[in-house]
Amino acid sequence: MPSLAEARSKENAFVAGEADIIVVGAGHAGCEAALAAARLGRRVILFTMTLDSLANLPCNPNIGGTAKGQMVREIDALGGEMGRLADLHMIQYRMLNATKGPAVMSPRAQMDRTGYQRGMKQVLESEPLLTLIQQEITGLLVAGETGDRKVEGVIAATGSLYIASDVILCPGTFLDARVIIGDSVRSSGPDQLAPACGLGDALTALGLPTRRFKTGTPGRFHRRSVDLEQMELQPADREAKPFSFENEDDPSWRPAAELPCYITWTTDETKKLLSDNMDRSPLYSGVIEGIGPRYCPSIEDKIVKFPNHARHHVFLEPTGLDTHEMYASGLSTSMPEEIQRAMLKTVPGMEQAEMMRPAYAIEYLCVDPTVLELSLEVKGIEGLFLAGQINGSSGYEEAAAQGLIAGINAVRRQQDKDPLIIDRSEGYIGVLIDDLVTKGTNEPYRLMTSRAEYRLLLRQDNADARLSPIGYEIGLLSEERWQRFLKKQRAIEHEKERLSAVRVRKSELSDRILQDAGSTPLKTTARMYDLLKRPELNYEMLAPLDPERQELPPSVRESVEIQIRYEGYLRMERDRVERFKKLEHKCLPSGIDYERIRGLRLEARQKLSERRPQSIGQASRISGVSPADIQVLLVYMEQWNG
Amino acid sequence: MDMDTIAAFSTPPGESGLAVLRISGSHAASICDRLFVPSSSRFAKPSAMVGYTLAHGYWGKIDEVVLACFRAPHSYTGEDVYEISCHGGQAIRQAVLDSVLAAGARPAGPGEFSRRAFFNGKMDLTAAEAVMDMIGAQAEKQAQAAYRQLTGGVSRVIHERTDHLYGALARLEMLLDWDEEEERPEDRELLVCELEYAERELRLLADSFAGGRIIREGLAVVIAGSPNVGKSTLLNALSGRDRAIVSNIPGTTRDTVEVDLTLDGYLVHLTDTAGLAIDSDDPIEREGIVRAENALRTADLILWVLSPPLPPEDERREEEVRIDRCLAEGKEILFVLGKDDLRLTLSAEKDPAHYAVERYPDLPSMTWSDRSEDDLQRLKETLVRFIESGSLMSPVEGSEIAAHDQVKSHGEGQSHGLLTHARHKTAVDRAVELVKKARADLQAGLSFDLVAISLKEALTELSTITGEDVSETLIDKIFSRFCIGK
Repeated sequence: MPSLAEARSKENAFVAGEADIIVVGAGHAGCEAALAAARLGRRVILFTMTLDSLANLPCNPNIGGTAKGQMVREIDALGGEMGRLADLHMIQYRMLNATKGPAVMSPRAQMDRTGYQRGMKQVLESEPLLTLIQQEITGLLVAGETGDRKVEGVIAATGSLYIASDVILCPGTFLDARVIIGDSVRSSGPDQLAPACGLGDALTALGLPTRRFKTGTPGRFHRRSVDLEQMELQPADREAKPFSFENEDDPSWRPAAELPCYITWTTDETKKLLSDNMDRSPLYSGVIEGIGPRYCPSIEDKIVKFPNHARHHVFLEPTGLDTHEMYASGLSTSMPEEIQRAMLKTVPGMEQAEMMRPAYAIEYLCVDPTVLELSLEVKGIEGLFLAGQINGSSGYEEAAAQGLIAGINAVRRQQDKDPLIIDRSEGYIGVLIDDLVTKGTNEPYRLMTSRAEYRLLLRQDNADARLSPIGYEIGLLSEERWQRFLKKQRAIEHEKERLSAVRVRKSELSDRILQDAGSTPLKTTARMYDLLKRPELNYEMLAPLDPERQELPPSVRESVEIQIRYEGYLRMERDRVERFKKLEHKCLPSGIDYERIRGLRLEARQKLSERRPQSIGQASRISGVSPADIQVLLVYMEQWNG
Repeated sequence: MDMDTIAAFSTPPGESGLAVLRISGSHAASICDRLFVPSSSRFAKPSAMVGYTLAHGYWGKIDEVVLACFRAPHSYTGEDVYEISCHGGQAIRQAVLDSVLAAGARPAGPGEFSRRAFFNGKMDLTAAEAVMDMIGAQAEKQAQAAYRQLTGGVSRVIHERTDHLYGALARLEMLLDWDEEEERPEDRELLVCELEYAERELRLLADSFAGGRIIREGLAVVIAGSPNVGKSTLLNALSGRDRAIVSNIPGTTRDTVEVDLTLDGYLVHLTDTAGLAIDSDDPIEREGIVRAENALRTADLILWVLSPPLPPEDERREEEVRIDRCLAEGKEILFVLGKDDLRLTLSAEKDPAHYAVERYPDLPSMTWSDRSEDDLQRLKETLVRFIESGSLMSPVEGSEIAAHDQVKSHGEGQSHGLLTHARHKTAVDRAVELVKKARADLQAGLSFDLVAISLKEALTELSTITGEDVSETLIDKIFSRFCIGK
C-alpha cells in the first residue's frame, strides 16, 4: 500500500486531481455522500466506472417499502436527495400496511428507472463543488503503520493519482463481482457492467476482513409478450404521497404516472420442473459460495425450503416510462437459461414471455462492518469511510442512508466536529448503522421494522420532527425547508391544543355520529381530544361535531391524529428511550484497556477489546457482553471519571 | 440508571434461626406499609419510621418479624432501606420474599446493593474494584447455574413452552414487515388463537418452575437400582434411622419405603424403591416394581445406585432401558456408586464407576460407602445444592472475591437459589401478563404494531432466563416459518 509520497516519487507519477473529499462509486451511497459533502462546502470528486449508469437500479426499480420507506423520508428530513428524486420519477405509489398501525405504514414507489438515473446525473452535474469523473479506482494511498494509518488519496486504473484527506468507498456489488447463470460464471458487475478489480486487493492489503455475499435478480420481459389479462391487477394507491417533506401538502405535486402491477402464480409444473433440475442450480451444486439473503430467496430456494407451498406469487412490475421491460418479482433465480425459459412456460400468463434479460445471481466482495466506527470511518485508518453494500447491507435505501452519513461525517472530521451519529431511537438510519457496526451481519442486511426497538416512534409521518432539526443544524437543510418545518410543527401543536379545549356536548347529532361508528354515545360532554382516542373514531368522522375546525394540510392532520390516538403508547416508548439514552450517552474512552478491568468475563474482555464500542449502550448490544459486564463497566467508568 | 426497588436476603441460605430480607429503593417504605402490621400502637407505620429505628409486628399473615428502618441517605445503599428479620425456615423465607416481590420489588441482581451504594457515594472510589469483582464473581456463578439449567430440563421446558409465543410474534412481524397487504380478519383470529396457546404454555411454565415448588413442597428424591445394591442402606444413612429393613437377600424391599427429612432446612421426601429386578415371578415383588415405577415418574431427582459387582449383561441392558426412559422424561439422575470398599478388588469391566462413566459420560456420579461420614456429608450437600440452584454440578469454587471488607460484610447474593428462582418466576409471571394484555388488545381491535410491543416485551422478559437475543431469534423464526420475499 503506497503512501502519497511513495507513489509520487515514482517515475512518471502524475497527480491528476486534488479535492477535500473523494467518493469512489456513484451508486446510491456514493451519490448521497458526494452531494452531502459538496453541499456542506467541500470540494468533492465523485468517481464512477461509467457515467452512463450512475444511480442505477439494477434490481427492482422501486424505492421504499417496510422500514425502507420510513428511512427514505429520514434521508429527506436530513437533507439527502433520494426522496426528492423518487418523487419526480415515481410511476406507482403504494402505502404498505395502511391498516396495520402507524408504526408500520410504509410508503413504496416504483421508479421510472432511466428517469431516476438521468435525474441524479443532472443533480450531480449542477452541484458547484462536485466534480464527476469516469475512472476506475484500483488502489488507495495510505500512510502510516497498522493501527495508525491515514488515507491520502486514490490511484486510478490509468495510474493517475488523486489526492484527498478523506476517501469514501461505495463500490456496491462491483468489487471482484461475478455473475452466475447456471454453469456460466463470468467476471462482471450488474447489468453487464465491468466489475471493479484491484480495490478489493487494496482492502485486503489493509488487513480489512472481507467475505463474499450473493444476491440476485429475476428476468425482464417484454410487456407485449405477457398476457396481463390472465393476471390479477394490483392498482396503485388512489392517492399518491410524496417521500420528500419538500413536496408534502403541495396540491400541484403528482407522480409521473400511476401504473398498476400484475400478479400471477407459479404452478405445480413450475415446482416439478425446478425440483427435477435442482442439480443444475448453482446454488445447490456448490458453484455459488457467497451467502445470500434469506429475505430475498430465489424461486428454487423457495421450492426447496417450503416444499408444502403449492405455488408462489409473481409480480409483474413496470420499470419505466420509456420502456416495455417488465420486472418479474418472485422469479429471481440462478438456473441456466434453458431452465429459465422452460420455467416461463409453467407460469400462467408468461407462457409466451419474451425474456429481454435473463435472471442472474451476483457474488461480490464486502467488508465485515464491525471494523467501522459508528461514523462509518474505518477504525485505525483515519479518513477512510465505507458506505453501502461494501458494508454487507443490501438495498438502495440502506446504501443511500449510509452514503449520506459517511458524507456528512467526512466533512465533520475535516472541520474537527464530532461525527453525526443517529441513534436507534432517532431513526432507522441509526438502527441500520448500529446493527451493522455493533452486531455485524452474516447475510446481506436488509432493514426491517422488527429490528427497531422504538418502532412506534420511528414513523414515516414524523421523520421530519425526528431529524430535520439535525439536518438544519449540520447545514444540509435549507432555511426555507426549516421555516416550513417550524410552521408545520406549530400547526400540529396548535391543533392539539385546540382539540383539547373543544368540548362536545351530547346531542342528537353526536349520538348519531358515535353510534354509526359503533362507539358509545356521550353521557354529557367530552373533550374532542378524548374522543379521538377511541379506536373506532377518527378526525374526519368527528368533523360535524367540530364546527370551528379549520382546513388543515393533510400532513398536519395525520400527525395530530396519530399523536393523540397513540399518546399513551408514545409516552411509554419515550420513557424507554430515556432509559436507553442514558447508557448511550455514557461514552467509553477510546484508550480503555479491557484486559485490566476486574470483574469482566473473559468473553466480554475479548469482544470489547476487539470491537471497541463508543458507549456503554453500544457495548451492551455486542453479543457476548452480559448485563453484569455492563454493570462492571458502569462502576469502572464512575471510578474513571472520579 | 434504573433505581427501582430491589430485595434479597442478606443472610445465608439454609435453615437458621433468623433470616434478614433487605429491601432498598424508593418504594421500600410503601411496600412495608402494605405488608407490615405493627404489634402495638407504640410503633409507627413503616413510612413514618425515622432512620435507625426498629418496629415489632407481623408480616402479612406470614410471620412475626422485626422491621429495621434506615432512611436515605443514611443507609448501606444510600436509598431507603428496610430490613425484615423473620424466622429462618424455608417456607417462611419463601413466603416473605414472595410477598415483597408481589408488592412491587424486584429480585436484586448480582452485587446490586453494593453497586447502588457505590453510585450513591456511600463507598469511596477504592471500593470500586471490589464492587466490580463482586458483580463479576456473582454473575459468573449465576451464569454457570443458568447454563447448567439450560443444558438440562429447564432449558428444554422453556424452549418448548415459548414456542407458541415466538410463533405468534413471528407471524405478527411477518405480517408487518413482509405481507404488505391490508389486514385480513383471519390474521387477527389466528393470532388470538396462537396467543391463547402461548398463554397456556407460559402458565404451565410458571407451574413447572421446580425451584419454587421444591422449596415449598419439598424435594422428591427416589432411590433406584438393581436388587441388593444398597438402596435401603442409603435411605437409612440419609434419614439417620433404620426405617428400611436391610439385609443382603435380593428383593428385601418389596414395597416402596418413604421417609421425610430436612436437610439444611429444606424438606426432602425420600423414597426407597423395590429393587428393579426383571421378570420376578413373585406377585408381591411385581407389585413393588409397579410402585417403584410410579415413584420414579414423580421424582425430582433420582439417586441411581450401582454397586459391584455389576449385574450380568441382560440385566444391565434392562436397567439401561429404565435409565434411558427416565432421562427421556427429563429426570435428573445422580449415580451413587455404592459399596465403595469392595470396588478396590475389582477389575475395570466389573467396576460400576467405570461402567457409569463409559455408558453415561454426561451424568454426574459420586461414590458412597455406608461407613464414610464424609461421603454422607457430600451427598447431603449435593442435595441441598440441587434444591438451591437446580443443578447437581458443584459451582466452580475459588472465584476468590478479594473484596473490600466493607463490601464483603454485606453477604450479597446469599440465598442464591431462592433468588434465582424468584427472578425466573418474576420473569415468567410478567410474560404471562404481557401476553394476556396483547390478546386483550387484539380483541379490542388495536393495531398490530401496538400488540407487537407487548409480545416483544414478554419475550424479552423470558430472555433474561435463557439469554437469547430476542430480535435475532425472531428473525430466524420468521425466515424458517414463512416463505418471505418476492
